[in-house]
Amino acid sequence: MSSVTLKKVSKRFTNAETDAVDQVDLEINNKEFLVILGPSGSGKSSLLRLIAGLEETTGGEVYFGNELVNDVSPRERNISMVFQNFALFPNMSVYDNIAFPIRASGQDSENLDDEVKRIASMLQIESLLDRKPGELSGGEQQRVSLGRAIIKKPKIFLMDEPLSNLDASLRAELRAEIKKLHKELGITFIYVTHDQTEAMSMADRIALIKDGKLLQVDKPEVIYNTPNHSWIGSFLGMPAMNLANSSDLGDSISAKKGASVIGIRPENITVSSEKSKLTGSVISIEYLGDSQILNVKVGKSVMKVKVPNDSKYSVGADVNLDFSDDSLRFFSDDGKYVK
Amino acid sequence: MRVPYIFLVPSLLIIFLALVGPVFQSFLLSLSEFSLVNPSQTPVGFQNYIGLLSDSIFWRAIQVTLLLVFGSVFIEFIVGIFLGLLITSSGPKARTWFSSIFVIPIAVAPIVTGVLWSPNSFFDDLNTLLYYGLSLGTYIDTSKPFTYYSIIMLSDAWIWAPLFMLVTVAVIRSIPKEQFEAADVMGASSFTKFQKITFPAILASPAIVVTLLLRTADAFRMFEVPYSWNFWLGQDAELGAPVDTVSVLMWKMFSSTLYDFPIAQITAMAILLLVVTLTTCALVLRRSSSLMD
Repeated sequence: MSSVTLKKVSKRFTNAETDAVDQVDLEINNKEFLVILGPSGSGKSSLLRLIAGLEETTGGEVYFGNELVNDVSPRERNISMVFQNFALFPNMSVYDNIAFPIRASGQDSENLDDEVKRIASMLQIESLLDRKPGELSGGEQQRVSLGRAIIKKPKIFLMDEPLSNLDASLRAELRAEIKKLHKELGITFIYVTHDQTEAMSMADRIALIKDGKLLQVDKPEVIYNTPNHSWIGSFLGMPAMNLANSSDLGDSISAKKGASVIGIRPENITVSSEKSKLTGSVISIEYLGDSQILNVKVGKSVMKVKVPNDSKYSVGADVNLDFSDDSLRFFSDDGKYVK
Repeated sequence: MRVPYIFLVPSLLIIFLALVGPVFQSFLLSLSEFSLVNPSQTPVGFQNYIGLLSDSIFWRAIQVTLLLVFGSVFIEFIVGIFLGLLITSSGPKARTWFSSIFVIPIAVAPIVTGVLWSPNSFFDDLNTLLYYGLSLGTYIDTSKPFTYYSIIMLSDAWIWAPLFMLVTVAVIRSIPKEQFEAADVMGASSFTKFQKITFPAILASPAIVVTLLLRTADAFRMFEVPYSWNFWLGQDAELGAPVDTVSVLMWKMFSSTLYDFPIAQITAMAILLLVVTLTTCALVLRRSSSLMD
């Protein structure tokens, strides 16, 4: 069993005033692709390093399956890890880098050569085996680092922002490959990123973390559609969810009991020609290629509205905004989701 | 002529005056006979060089110099790396103590080091202790070539090992910590990490190679340490014949001045020393850059 269970796991670094990871309870299922998503400094990498054993917990328990691993060293945890800066060994060839985990743990066998070559061809780096990491591009280096992590046949595969050092097109390409890899290997993947596109496109479930606290763990579509905190609404989505005080929007929308903040996603608002729920004036337009974002001032707040790229609006014009009541989300004063 | 080159003229002129000129003039001087006793400069061709190269004492001095240069640079290189590893692997408090203590020898004047390590200051007492104090019936015979060469190398390494230590520490600090963490996760032992990450990084570091070159070139000018031994080992040698076994080239040049101050001859020696130094450095550079690849 390679499930991972965190029970009230905390980490406070020496001399720090707050916990980098604050009482996190999390269950990661066997063979799941879990993405830990959060802004920089949220403690997501620390959480991953606690799972890897590269940091010691200052509270709580980490279980792999049913086994408590708090005091188990990283090398005995049967994990593999991929780092943001690749962490390849610069003095070894690509071949030796990939073979490293097997040789280092003294399991050198006759099959090693076949194994290295099989993995290299899987990652399309067979032609690079004799080169040194310094001669490779970033994408190739990350492939090597994936290969080095795969050869170990770990039970749990950890990735710490593996694509953040790569350029956009390469990221999209490797995203698909990592997803494919997860299917082929059939093991638990835990993937840390600050990039919501990565999280949305790859994850079975996303764990959202902010200021060391776990806010929500669920499927991407659930998190996107029903964020359990207004902050998640404003963090996810490009552009993010519109959040407005219900009092600012006038009487046309009735807020649920106990809710003071109303959220609605820009793509759920349409501009209608007739008089509708809200009226406002366009204060600026962002052209995004496949769509346009209108910034519409409604009462005291500014709403973002996603409209087709061929629609024609001008700054200063008055527009009527319409939406279905189902797309509204309600939050309390302290940001909690109100059902 | 293109205009930009004109702007180079002043600096080229200075370089020629300060660098190329003197070397060239020295070379001319070495082709003549010129001393304080005989101050008229008469050209003698390669007489001075022929004289030197057929002088067994000169060859002996070259041998001694090369032996001491390679011996001491090698020892300080190894010891320096070891000290650097010791510092980087110790705790924060020990690290501060270690690094401040280990660095001290660099600040000690080489002549003081030479005297400190020479027979009449240290080994006399040590031998007294060994022979009489502890009644071991044995002592360290500093008049044996193996012993004194080793001690001279050690004392030079004692001065300069901290330099390699500082560079090693800097190199180790510059290795991304993720490399060690990756190795940890991959199941590597501490020894494997040293063997596969730390040590190759040290050897492949340009900083270490530059330090090695600087030290090699500088070691050819080694003088104070052998000098402080000369008078002791030279006791048995004939007066006025500084032919004792620890004559480094520098000593040979220094001692040649004793009678008639043969400036031209000394210049010839200096130029040969320059040639030996440059050749050695070129070889070291070649060797180490092949290591770096």
